[in-house]
Parts: sequence; C-alpha cells; structure tokens
Amino acid sequence: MKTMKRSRITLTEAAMLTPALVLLLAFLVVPFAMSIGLAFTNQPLLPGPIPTKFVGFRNFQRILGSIEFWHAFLNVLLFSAMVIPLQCGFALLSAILLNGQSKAKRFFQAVFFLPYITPMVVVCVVWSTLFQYPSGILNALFSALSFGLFEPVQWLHDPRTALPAITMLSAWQAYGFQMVIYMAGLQNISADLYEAAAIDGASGWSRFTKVTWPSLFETNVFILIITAIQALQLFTQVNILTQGGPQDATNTLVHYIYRSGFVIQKVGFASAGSLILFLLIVGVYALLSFLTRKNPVGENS
Amino acid sequence: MKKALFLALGLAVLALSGVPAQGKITVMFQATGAESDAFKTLFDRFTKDTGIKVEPMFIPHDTYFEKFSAAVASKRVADVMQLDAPFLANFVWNGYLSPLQGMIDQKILDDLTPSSVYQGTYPIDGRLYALGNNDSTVLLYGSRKLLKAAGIRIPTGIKDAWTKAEFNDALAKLAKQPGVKWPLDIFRAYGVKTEWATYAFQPIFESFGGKLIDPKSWKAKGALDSPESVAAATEIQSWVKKDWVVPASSGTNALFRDKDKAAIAWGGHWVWAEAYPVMKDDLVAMPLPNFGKGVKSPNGTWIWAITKSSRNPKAAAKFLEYLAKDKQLIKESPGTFPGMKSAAALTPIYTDPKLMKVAFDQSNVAVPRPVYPGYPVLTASFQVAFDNILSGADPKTELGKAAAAIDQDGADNDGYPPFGE
Repeated sequence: MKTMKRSRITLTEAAMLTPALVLLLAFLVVPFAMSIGLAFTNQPLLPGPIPTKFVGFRNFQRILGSIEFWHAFLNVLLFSAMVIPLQCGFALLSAILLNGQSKAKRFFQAVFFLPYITPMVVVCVVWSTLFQYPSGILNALFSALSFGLFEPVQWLHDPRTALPAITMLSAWQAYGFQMVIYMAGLQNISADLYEAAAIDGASGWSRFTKVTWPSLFETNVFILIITAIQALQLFTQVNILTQGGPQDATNTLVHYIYRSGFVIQKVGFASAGSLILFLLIVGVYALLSFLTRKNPVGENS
Repeated sequence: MKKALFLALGLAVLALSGVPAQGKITVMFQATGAESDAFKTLFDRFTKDTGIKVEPMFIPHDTYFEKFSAAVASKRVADVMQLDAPFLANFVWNGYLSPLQGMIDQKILDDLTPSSVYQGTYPIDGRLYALGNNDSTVLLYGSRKLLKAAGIRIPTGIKDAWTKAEFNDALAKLAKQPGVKWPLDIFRAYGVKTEWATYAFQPIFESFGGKLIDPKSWKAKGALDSPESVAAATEIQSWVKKDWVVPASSGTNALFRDKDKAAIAWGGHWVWAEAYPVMKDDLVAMPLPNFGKGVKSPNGTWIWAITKSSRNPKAAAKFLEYLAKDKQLIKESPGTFPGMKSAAALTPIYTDPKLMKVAFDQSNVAVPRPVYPGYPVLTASFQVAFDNILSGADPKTELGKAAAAIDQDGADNDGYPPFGE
C-alpha cells in the first residue's frame, strides 16, 4: 500500500518534471553535446560545397596559439577582478543605506534597480554620450572638478581606459541585482545581534565588521559566484560599444567566440572556443567553491 | 466553435507546411526606417500589378547570416533574397544563387551602371547573380567657406581630384583654421571592427596600386602586405598620428556641428542628406583623392538575387524586373544613390554639378571589395588590422598577420575551388 502510494507520487512528479526536462534537454543538453562534437570539425556557418570533416584538435591548437584569444582571456580575468569588488561593494553599500529605512526604501530600491531592468542597448547608448570626447559629461565633470587640469580622455577608444570604462558601465547597470540579494541577506540578520553589539558599546564600523559582514557570509559566497560567472561572459556592452577594440583592449572570450562563429562564420572553431570558456567557468566555479567552502566564523557566531 | 477551431488548426498546418501557393514568392530582406516602409509599399504594388503574392521575411541586419543559415538548414530559403554585395561571391560559391542572364529582361541588365554590374558579377564564371536599383559611394565633403579661407583649390570632378600631396597640404592648412578642431572626419564613430573599414578604405589601397587579395591566385600574401598596400595603410595612419582625424568617441556630425568641428568629411553618399539641411550651399561634394593610380571609389549595397532553391523562379524574376523598373521606390527612399543609368534622372541631386554629380560620376571608377568566396574572413581580418594600424601598430606587421589569416582560411577550404573542378 505504502509503496504504491510512493510510486504514484513519483509518477506525478515525473509528469510535472517532464516539460522542464524536455526543454532543458532540447535547448541545453543537446546543443551542448552538439557543440562538443562540432568543436572537432571544420563546420562553417553556411553549408557549402566542401563537406564538413573531422579535423581533430586543430581548432583548439589554433585558439590556444592565437594572441587574440589570450588577450581576450586576460581581459576577462582583469574585468572580473575589477567589476566584482566595484559592483558588489556598491550593491552592499546601497543595501545597507536602504536597510531599516521604511518610507524612502521602496522608492530608492526601485530607482536603484532601474538600470538592471533597462535593456543593455539603451544603457550603452546613454553611456556612450557620457563618454563623448572631448566634451562629454564625464570629461566635463572631471575637468571641472580638477579646475581644468584634467585632459579629456577618449574613454572607450584609448587602450588604457577602455576596459575600466566598460567596467564602470557594467557595474552601474547590474548592481541592482546584487543589492536586492544583499537586502534579503541583511534582513535575515537577527536584530538580537545588533542589540547585543549596542549594549557592548560597539561603534557603527565595528558593528559592520563584527556583525553584518560575518553574518553575510553565505550571501557573499552566492553573490561572488554569480557575479564571477556573469563577468566571465561579458559580451553585449563590448559588442555594442567597442567591438573588442581598440587594439583588443576590450576583447572578451564571448566576443571572440561570437566573431569566430558569426562574422568569420566558422562554427566548428567557435564551438571549440565555447568549450574552452565552459571549462574556464567550471574551473573558476570550482576554485571559488573550494576557497569559500568553510564559514571562517563557524557555527558558533 | 469546435469546427472553427479545427478549421483554424488546419489552416495553420497548411500555412506551416510551406507549400507555395501558385503565384506566391517569399522575399527575405533587411531595411530600417523609411527604406523598410518603401519596400512594404513596393510589395503591395507588385502584388496589385502582377497578382503574385509576396510573403515578406524581414530579418534584422545584425542577424541576417544567422537567420539565413537556419533557413538553409531547414530548407526554407526564400525565393528572392537581399544580400550585401561583397558577400555575393561567398553565396555564389556556396551554390545558393541562380544566374540572372536569361531570366531577366536584357534591357534592364543593360541599364545597370558599370559599378552595379561589377558588384553583381562572379568573376569565375562571369555571370550576373544580383541587381539593385541603388548603389553607394564614398566621397569628400567640405565647407566652401573654410576651403576658400585656407586658400585651397576645390576640385570639380574626377579629372582634377586632389593628389596625395594636395590632400595632405589641404589638411595641414585646414588644421590651422580657426574653429577647426580636426581637419578630417573618416567616421571612426561607425565602430572599430565594422564593414565601414573595408568598404571606405579598400579603394585607397587600389589607388596606391595595392590590393587586399590577388584576384587571380586568391592569395593575400603578396597583395595585402605588398609595399603599395603598406604605403596606403601608412598614409591613413599618418593622418591619425598628426592628430588630423576626428576620434571615434566624438560622434558622426563633426562636419556640420558648431563645436569641435571637422573641415572635410570622408563620408558615404548618405552624409549629404544629413549635412545639407545644416550647411546649405556651403556644403561642397568632391571626389576622393588620387593617390597615384587614379581616383578609386567604394561601391556596393544590399542587392537582390534569386535563390537556386526557389520553387517559383519565374515569379521571382518578375519581382526583380519590377523592382528594377519601379520609380516609386526611388522616390520614397530619399538620398538613394542610383544603381541604374535611368534611375539617375529620378534623383536630381546626382545630376546637378553643384550638388552631387561628382558622386554619381564616381560609379565609373568604383572598385568593389574583393569578389572572393572567403570574403567573411578577409573583411574580418582586415578590420582587425585596420583598427590596430589606426591605433598606432606597425602597418606591415598588421597587414602581414591579416594576410596569413586570410590565406589560412583559403587553405582550409582547398583554395575555394571553382565550379566543376
């Protein structure tokens, strides 16, 4: 009787899982498996008179031997190293400012979240006018703040400033997401801890370092991993604003793969690139999970 | 209710099954704004006049090749398709297009400008595969007042175009004119790695006597990195090095704005429509400079072809003929650059020597981008090299790298063997 009941539940569960599984299979697992296969062929984007053939590791050899790829690889790591602290720090700051506020909270929460739901294309158009040379708003601002000492910069078209400019824009656009998660994390911290800290006479700063920050450990791990994965896949901003230039200063792995597949029209080659990106993301995920495997404060906090 | 539902379902299945109704063609195209509206009214007129139904397949410009490749994979290629002229060789080599001779009225083919014939022809078999009633060019725009103030001769036609020395001299003088921030706008704002680089500057390589690829051997090594090509790239780079060129982050209106102005714009024929309302008679159109081997100008636009897989090629041919003869289309797309001799009469600005006649004259000296099946790789590699060169990299090294990438692709495709071999 009991076993029958259990199997019936599994049946219902299976029935409910099926639609999602079919979609995942059709649009995630199958294409992924196909791209592994294609990575070892010379498959073009447009089928032509030369039949697709197996080329062994040629695509991988060429990718790993190309300066453009390694440039894109380093750019992505550099971008992640810049954008994660900036974006998450900004998100945490706004979350703390909004935490506990009752009336203004909803309004500012919506305002801060606005860039995140604005399409990236729109954000890029707006920022490209901010970045205008020589008299765009950003240049004018820096120039005014420095009493005219600041030399206008071609933000997006100077190899030295292009990636930082993309970083600023990206952090501004997406920090609303991390902010919302931090707000949830902050609300989970028990008020008792703050009361105890207040009784002990802790200052605002030590309340943050001794109570808030340690309590946010789980949230931080989640945000770090999500942001890192997003950062490694940087593409849209770059494709719209700089196409990877100047001199490859903003080229990224996804942009490299995109150009290989849809501009140069070599799908096999692009698949090999995707596979390398996949391995990189898995590697970074594994590394971050390993480094953050233990809450340093422990359970007794 | 149920019956209606079944009927609707049946109709939907019928519609999806893709069986072509008698006298119906699918047309794959890309366009924006006024042009898009003009195409839609063209389809309506065509259906009204011929009884052939048109099923439009609008594809955004940026995903055109992705969608086309999906259509090929699912065997649902349109009867008529628009394609960007430099990619014609790639499409013909892949076997997607039907030659037009014999399908289209010879009178229409005779009416095409030399530039249009050039861009629609695959040189290996010498046959025409695509046509259009419009074309494009790039020329120099200047301000009459500024040129006069700097004491610079204004060329009136292709014959008295500026030489390399005169052009450099003009830029040097204009750079010193009050109000001029940069003497030359080459529209770097269009983007770093975009078709604009290959389109607008490939003819300069030709005017220097260089080529992007050898048209006989289909090898880039020895052409793209030849001394002539390196000289062309070095020349363009020198303008940037002298701080003469409007930087990429400064917008596309440097010629006709009030602040941070440019004096000369190296721009497409469409710039006229943007600049004229502001500058009026101060705007002067001039031919591109002659860098030694004569004035060479860009050409090419999205042209129309009949696909090999079309199940209704006769109706498709009728559509192309209709489009070529249609006068309304030209009238509705302001600023269209004529691709047919008879169309020039409909676009008065291209016949008036005071306006844009020099631009239309350039279609006699137009050089298409390399008609080569590996064009996608060629243009992508060239764009990277061009971006690096403008940013200060060594022209010979960069062009050599691009040539190697192009030739590697050629080797991967067995040298793009011609038909029947």
